[in-house]
Amino acid sequence: MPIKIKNLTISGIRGIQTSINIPLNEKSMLIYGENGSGKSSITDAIEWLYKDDVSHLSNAEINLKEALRNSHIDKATNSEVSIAYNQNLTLSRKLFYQKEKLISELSNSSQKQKEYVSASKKENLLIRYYLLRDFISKTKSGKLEALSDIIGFSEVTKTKEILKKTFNSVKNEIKSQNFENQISIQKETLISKIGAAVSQEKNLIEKINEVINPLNLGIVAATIKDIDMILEQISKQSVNKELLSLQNFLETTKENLVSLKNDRNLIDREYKEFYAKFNKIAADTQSIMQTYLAELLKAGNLVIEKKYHKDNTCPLCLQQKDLTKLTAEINQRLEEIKASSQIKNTFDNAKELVAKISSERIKRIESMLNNPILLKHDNTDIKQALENLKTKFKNYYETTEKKVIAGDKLPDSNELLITDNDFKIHTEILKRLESINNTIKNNKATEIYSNISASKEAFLKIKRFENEKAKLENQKKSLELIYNEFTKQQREGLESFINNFSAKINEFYQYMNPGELFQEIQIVPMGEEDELKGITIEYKYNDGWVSPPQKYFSEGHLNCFGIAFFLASVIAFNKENKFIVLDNVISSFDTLHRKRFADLLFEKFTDYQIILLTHETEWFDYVSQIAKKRNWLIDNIKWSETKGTYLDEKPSDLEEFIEKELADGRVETLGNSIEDDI
Amino acid sequence: MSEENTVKTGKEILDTFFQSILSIEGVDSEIANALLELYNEGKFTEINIANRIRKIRETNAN
Repeated sequence: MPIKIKNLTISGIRGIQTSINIPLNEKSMLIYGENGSGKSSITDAIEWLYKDDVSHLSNAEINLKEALRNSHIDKATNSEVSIAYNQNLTLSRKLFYQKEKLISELSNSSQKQKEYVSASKKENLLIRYYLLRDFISKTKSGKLEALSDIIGFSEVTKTKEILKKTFNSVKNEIKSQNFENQISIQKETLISKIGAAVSQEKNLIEKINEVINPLNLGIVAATIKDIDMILEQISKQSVNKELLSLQNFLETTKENLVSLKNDRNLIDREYKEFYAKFNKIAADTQSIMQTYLAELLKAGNLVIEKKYHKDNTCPLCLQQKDLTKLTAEINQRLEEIKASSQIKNTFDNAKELVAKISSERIKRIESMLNNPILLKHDNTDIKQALENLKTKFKNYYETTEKKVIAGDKLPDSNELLITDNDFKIHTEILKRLESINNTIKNNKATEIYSNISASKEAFLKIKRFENEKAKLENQKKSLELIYNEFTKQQREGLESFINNFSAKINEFYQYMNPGELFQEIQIVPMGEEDELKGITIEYKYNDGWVSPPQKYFSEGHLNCFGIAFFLASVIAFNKENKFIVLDNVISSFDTLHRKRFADLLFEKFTDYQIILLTHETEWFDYVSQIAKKRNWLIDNIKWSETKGTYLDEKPSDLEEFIEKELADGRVETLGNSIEDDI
Repeated sequence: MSEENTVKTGKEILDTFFQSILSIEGVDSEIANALLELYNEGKFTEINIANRIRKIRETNAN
């Protein structure tokens, strides 16, 4: 059951010196009050109750709590607003002195009350005249942010970015591992050792059984597990283990060097990408630096908005500057920052890939360098060559630590290129291997042992690489499907929101402006399919689409749009509350539009509890005629030196009512009242 | 006017998506479960996801 107000009590707030009590009993209410009578004290009190803030009192020139508190009440008296709702719920906020300090707090708030306040803060409960053009005046991304905040869409965008980054990270992992290269090297080993790049275990076993045949061991392998047993049998013959160990070390080093040699193309290619993106940003550091300035610019906007700085000068450099123009410039820069952020994201991705590829190679080389066999004098050249290669990959890695904004420069790709010269040791290793292999050839058992052992290792490595690659590919595929589905649901959610919202705004606007030239008002998302950059408002005017609305809209039209936007927001997003407060919103409307607005409320918002405040007598008269028939409460708000703001006491009978109306000079409504009464 | 509120909030979009994540065709259930768990625990960050999916790869490898 939606929440409506049963009773509203306000004391000691703004113009309300003593206390006003409005027993609404879930009914709507029309309140008339002349300028300065303190009508907005009611709106202020309700806003303060929910938000512990009042937007128009929240700036540097004003101490909110002091401004809220009626200046005539003594320190011992609390200022308070209390609302009793229809759901056995009461909410009160007090403002009181504690050790000379004004304290604002919700009274006796239970979990239920806290949850209700938290949910209600996000709802559109009240609108004032000066807030009507708040949305329309925002930049395109500002509009997106405003709507995103209302529906909590910023969380959706954040989640989507996380999913995208996760997908990119797995994609980069696959690229950086260069599995194809590693598998291809192991296949070469298989060919050289057993004459075939077998991919099935049974084919490997077949080949191994062929290879061991000349040794007449009297056993055969049935599975890969049997290979160790066969190797053990062979080792009982005259196998030169020391030679095999050296051969194994040289073979592994050779394979790793071949792998690294192939990887230099990968790192070179990715470095060139990174280099290009780095230099693109370096050529326009200004735009990327802006991304770091975003927070400062936002703070600047706040300083101006909250009037912490009120002179027509820039708050930072203090040069002469029109503050309205300055706000527009800041908003423009914030728009540009959005675009720069996207360039920075692709740059970060390229940088991450270079860092991943190079660090993975450094890790592999370090693992090779940890082999104690390198300490032997014969292997000094290999150790140096590996250290040299480590330095080369480290050079690539260090480029990713350069700061483009600080003016750092990246070396040209030619300066980092890993050349054939860096792999000279490969030839030396091949020579040593040839010599070892020639020696081994003279010992059949050692040769067969070497071939079986190496092919088994190669086969298992291939399986491991294939397995790792398959796992990563599977995760990549899953993350891509998840990301695509997320984007689809996000788009559907947004489209549903925009269609629904646009239709409502247009419906309400057209209701208030029938037959006018501005048709089909809609809010339109901007940006790529999955990268929403902003929201704009367009409408049809003389058969052409117009954007932004300010182009042809008068002040009245803009405010009318603001009301339509607010009312559409109420329908779309208010889930807890079924009441709204409209404070003096029709000031810039002509008579016809004022009436249409009243008709709109009575026709389309019958199930809402509305608190309508106005100082426009003619409109009040028009609305009160309908309001009476709809059983609304109607009252006048007044102000006097002694009482402050107070509600007119209700006349007890017709005679008293007529006397009061005559006393107030309000004769035009009397006819209807008398007729109604008769 | 009694309009049905058909617009989903951001939270509702996220809740709906994660409720259906296990049924997205072709998605590895371990990945989907990991993301769902992190979302439900309020730990849906890039680092947490990266750690979790790396663990899945390592566990499967073992």
